[in-house]
Amino acid sequence: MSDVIRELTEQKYKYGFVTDVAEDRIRKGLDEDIVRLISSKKNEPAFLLDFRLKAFRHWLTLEEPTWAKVSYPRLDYQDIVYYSAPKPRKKLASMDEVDPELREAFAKLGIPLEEQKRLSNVAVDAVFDSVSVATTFKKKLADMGVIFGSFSDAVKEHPELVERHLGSVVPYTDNYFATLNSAVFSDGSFAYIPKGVRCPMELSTYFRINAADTGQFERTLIVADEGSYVSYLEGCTAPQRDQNQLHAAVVELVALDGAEIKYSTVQNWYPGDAEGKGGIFNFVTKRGRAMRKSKISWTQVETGSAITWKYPSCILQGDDSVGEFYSVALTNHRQQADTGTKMIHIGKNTRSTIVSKGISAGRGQNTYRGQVKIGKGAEGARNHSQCDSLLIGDRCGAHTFPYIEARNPTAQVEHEATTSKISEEQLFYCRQRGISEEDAVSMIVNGFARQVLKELPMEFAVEAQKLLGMSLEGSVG
Amino acid sequence: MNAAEASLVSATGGLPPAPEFVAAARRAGRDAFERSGLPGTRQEDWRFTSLAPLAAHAFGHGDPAVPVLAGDLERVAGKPFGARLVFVNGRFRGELSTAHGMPTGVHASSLAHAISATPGLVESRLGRTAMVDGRPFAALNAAFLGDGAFVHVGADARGGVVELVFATASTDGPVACHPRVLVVADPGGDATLVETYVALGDHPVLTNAVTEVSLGAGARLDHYQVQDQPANAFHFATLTVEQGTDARLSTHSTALGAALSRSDVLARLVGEGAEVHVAGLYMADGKRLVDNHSVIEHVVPRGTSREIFKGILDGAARGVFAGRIRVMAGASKADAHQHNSNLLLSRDAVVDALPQLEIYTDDVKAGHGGTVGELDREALFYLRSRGIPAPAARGLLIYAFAREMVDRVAVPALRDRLGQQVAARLAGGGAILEAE
Repeated sequence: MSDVIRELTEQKYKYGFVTDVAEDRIRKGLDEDIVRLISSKKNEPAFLLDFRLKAFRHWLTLEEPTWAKVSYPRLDYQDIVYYSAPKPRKKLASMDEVDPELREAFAKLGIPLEEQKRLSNVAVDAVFDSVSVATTFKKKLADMGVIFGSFSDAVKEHPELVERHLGSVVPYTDNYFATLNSAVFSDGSFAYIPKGVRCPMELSTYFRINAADTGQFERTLIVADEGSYVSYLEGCTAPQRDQNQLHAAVVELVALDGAEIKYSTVQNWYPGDAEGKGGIFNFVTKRGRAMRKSKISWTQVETGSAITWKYPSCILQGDDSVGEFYSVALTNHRQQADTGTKMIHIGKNTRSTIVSKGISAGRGQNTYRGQVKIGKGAEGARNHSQCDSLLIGDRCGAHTFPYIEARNPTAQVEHEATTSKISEEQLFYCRQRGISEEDAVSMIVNGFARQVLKELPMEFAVEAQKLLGMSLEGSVG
Repeated sequence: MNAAEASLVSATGGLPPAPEFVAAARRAGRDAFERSGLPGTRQEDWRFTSLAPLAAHAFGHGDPAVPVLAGDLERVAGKPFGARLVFVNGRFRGELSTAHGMPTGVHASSLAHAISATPGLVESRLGRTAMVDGRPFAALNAAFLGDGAFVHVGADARGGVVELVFATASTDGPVACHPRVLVVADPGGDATLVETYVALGDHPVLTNAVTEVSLGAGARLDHYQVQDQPANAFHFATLTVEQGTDARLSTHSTALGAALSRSDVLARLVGEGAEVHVAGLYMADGKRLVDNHSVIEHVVPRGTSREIFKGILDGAARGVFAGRIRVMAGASKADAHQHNSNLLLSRDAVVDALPQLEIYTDDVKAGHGGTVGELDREALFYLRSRGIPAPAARGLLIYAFAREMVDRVAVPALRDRLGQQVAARLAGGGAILEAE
């Protein structure tokens, strides 16, 4: 193994792990009283409390799943605080007060200065105040009838929309972590795009138009009405620090006839140290339901978290609906990722595409797990899956577990997978041409992930590209 | 244990006495089976294959001395194409067997004979790769250990075919039998082994075979399994393989019959430079289920593995393919590829395919591919436009799909027989063979 690869894979997570802790919390533990307390603190309508309680009671009957190829110490669900009121963090006076390493990371990612300030909670001048930016955006969206805001606000302002769609794609009985989320979810985002409206901007948690602190049990619901279009971005490339180890989010997408939802995620939570201590456990349930002639496209770049357990899926219910899944998952040190998708073909002529790129370095374990299910009535369905793995170093693992379940003879399903490594020849070739080894590794990794990165919105793609390099490398500039 | 499980192990009481190492293996197998019971669909390895249909039958222990006419046997198993050892209900039947054509350097006998004649050699290999923990059918087979076949490929063996025919014969009720095949190849030895599984009689039979192969350095084995059981039969086959340095195994299975058939291949490349080829063809119609599971494990450097399975599913049949290639840390320069194609011929046919890679080191070349689809409509149209009626055109295309697997058979007589068996299951089968 070349020195540079060893250096890269042994590099530490540089961004520290500190957060101002909000002190206004309820007691630890989870019981029915806690669920009621969360609901009452948020002044929720009866249907939501009912939803939470049903979920909680169901959760008590479930066992934590063990089928994923990840190992972690058993979680004590009674040792978690399930609600803390979002409190504003202490404002910093200027960028000088921000951790220099974090500043360096911002610079490398190419995040604009005002954005940096917002992300690191530095007070910004009035012109660039994120609140006013948010207000401008909100007005523009409201003019078109787009509803976009925090989940809590949506519950207050549009309870009928929330009630109709909540749990319609991911029911409260879905799985251990989704059920837990259904019982205790704190906040999240809600978007509704009216009929025929093409949302004029990328909706994003990145701009924080929605709640400032959505907490560890995030719940997102996006409803695209007939013929509408929306592109939604979740997360950001900047390192995310969080006090809570367990994250169990739920995302539900509803694409009605002819609608299109593009959902992009960049996840860069704290991955734990080189020895695998600490780090976020990210157990996420994401699923979309696509009605006739609609399209749901998931793109994800997963570089963070100690454990990633997520399978953004599409239920292709309507005839001629389309599902897509583009994923780059990177595991370094002792990170473990078990991620993939489910494409459930129900309608006729439904089509799905899966492109998954796994990158393993250090002692990382990277698993693609995906299901393609062709229902009996899915006449003429098509699926193509491509799952590639890139291994960097001889102590990491890359695994591919596709499940193909075909119930209709007219369906065509194809699956391909390859596993390769960064070879000494490739590195040597780049070195010959005056490219440093670190840049060469970064180039090769980005070339490998290109098919997915190009699906990201442009400015995001540029940052994500840099992020991949940074997640692997010690001193790439 | 439930009633079905209890009835399966109950017959172990009537086993003939055996040396201590066999008795110990029986006890270990029985204990392991009693711990695990029959697997359920909640277990990952069995999620697509329900064993519930087994519960409808109380399988007795078949009479090993049941009269069998040579003609009846040839009707189901074909004519011998060399040395043939015949086993009825798990016991060797000398009068139906022929040693004529036994290849030089190859010694094949009943396992019972080998246990008494060369106990040291048998003890050192028996049960070494067919672990019983977590493998209920291997455990059940071990619980009945006693007879089956022992094939010793000596260092001086230079090819040649040995055929083993296992017939499960029922007379007045359902019968279960658990034959064991032990193959030991000395360094440099080379042989071909054909296992054929058939049934006689009208009652449902359950065949639970375990084949253990141990190849010394540089040894070669061409191995074939043909499963041609009747439509009410249950067939379970476990093949475990351990390969030494530069050893080469090619194993080829054809699953043509049985109501429910399940095959498990477990190959470990423990010697550097070992090579394994695993190929399989499965055909099912009606409400039959055919399930092929395999695990190929690269443990040391420079191993090569190639796996290809093709399935043809008609009626309301279900096909399952689950192949896992595992490249362990340290198995550098591994070269592994796996492919599975399935042809769905009817609206109610079902396929579940799980081609899996598990890689723990970076210096590998590994890939897999899988496809599921129906017959190519353009090819069908082409044939019909040339005056070939639709059923015959379909038959021709299906035959072409299957023929790739048949062509991999290196034994000409077996290749011809399999070609006929495949064609016989297709519309216009006779015409296809004539046209060839």
